[in-house]
Amino acid sequence: MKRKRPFLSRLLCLIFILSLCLTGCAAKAPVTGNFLAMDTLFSYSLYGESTKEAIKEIQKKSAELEKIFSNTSDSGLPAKVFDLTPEKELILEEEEALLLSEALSFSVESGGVFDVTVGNLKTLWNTAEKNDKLPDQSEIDLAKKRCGFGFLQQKDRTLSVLESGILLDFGGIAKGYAADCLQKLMVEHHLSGFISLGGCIASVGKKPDGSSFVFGLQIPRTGVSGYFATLKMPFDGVLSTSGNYERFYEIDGKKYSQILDPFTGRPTESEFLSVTVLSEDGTESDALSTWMMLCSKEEAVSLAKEYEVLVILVTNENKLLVSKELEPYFSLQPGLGYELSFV
Amino acid sequence: MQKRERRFFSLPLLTTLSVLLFCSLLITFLLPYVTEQGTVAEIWVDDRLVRQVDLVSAEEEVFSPCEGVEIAIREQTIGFVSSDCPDQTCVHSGMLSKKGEVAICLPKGVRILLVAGKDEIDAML
Repeated sequence: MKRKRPFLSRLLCLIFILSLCLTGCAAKAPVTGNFLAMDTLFSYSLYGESTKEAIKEIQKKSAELEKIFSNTSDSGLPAKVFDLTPEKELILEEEEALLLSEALSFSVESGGVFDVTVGNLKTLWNTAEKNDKLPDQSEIDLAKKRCGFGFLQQKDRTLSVLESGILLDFGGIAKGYAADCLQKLMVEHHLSGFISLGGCIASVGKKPDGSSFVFGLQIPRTGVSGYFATLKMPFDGVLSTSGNYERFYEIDGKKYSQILDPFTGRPTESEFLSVTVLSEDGTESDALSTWMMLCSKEEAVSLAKEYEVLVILVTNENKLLVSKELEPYFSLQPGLGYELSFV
Repeated sequence: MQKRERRFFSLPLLTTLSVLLFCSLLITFLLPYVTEQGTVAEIWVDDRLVRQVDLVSAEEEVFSPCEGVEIAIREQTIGFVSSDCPDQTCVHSGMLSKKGEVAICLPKGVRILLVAGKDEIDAML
């Protein structure tokens, strides 16, 4: 009679069952891709079942927002407001009304430090760069006369102006608003992952293995790549960074910030190399990161507390001021010479 | 006559299945760690992926993905070295070496994305 081999048989059964169990744990790769919209690169990394439909909607929504907020398109909101005269009223689309209302709120709350109506000053400095010649004070004063959120009066979807020729600039807020819209789409499609759009990253959920998404914070020096720190996302939200190291005006061999001070009409001489804000609300994080670039260190820290957002501030003296709530999630790269303090 | 014992899984079948499944799972788990050792750069022009480069094994070179733009690969880094675009933001981005880094030349529709690597980050801000 043939001898049975119960031990071997049971061992193989065990390996077989364990292997079947492990199939559910295998690492899943995210769906990644990128496209150009709103004058920047959108790149995504998404986990979930309905990524295909979500990506289509993400691209569609981004294209819609680009049309609305572009300052180069004739059908964009900036062009419509520029052509508006005090005798007329403009009926805004729902999306236009929503963002303009948010932008005006931040303009009011900041007392005009963040101002959505600096478009004419932007045009002046863009032209100055093109001609490689600094603008005269008289030209700055002229452009400043057509800047000021007080020239706009919005009531729900109705907008009127006190002066004609007001040019809006959504540069400090539109990407954050777009990040909110795209984050909402990710949630609706039950996806986890992130979408990076220029200076903003909208992040939802965790990776399939339960770990958080980790983002590198770029070294804020022109021509220097790499990151000075990493941040594990503590919650679903939007990270926004403003700085002067990537985009700037170069006039007569000198570099100037692209963030303009509405009070002087000139590029800001910020105390910061970069300001990163983390908030559950992307519009808020984008607007605050621009606003804080125009603040002193003390004002920026105080603003973060007032708005209950988390910040990573890099000063011109390579000092790092990081919200203390981020301490467990923040990791500084060694050997870069930054002086770190939690505030 | 002794009744023949019937089994749902015969021993040879079970052995084969177990070995195959175990090997496939080993590959599934280990493959990402093996491939992530090299830093892979993607070069896109408009909506086309025109080139993928493993920076660890790539030879030093300067190439042009489209007219007026030059990209260099050197010492396991990649970046724009020249562009006839007005703002030069792409050239200011410097040489990239870490997963998650991107450099973009908007007027030319060219971008470089470092999509894989041994770095701990998922994206760069």
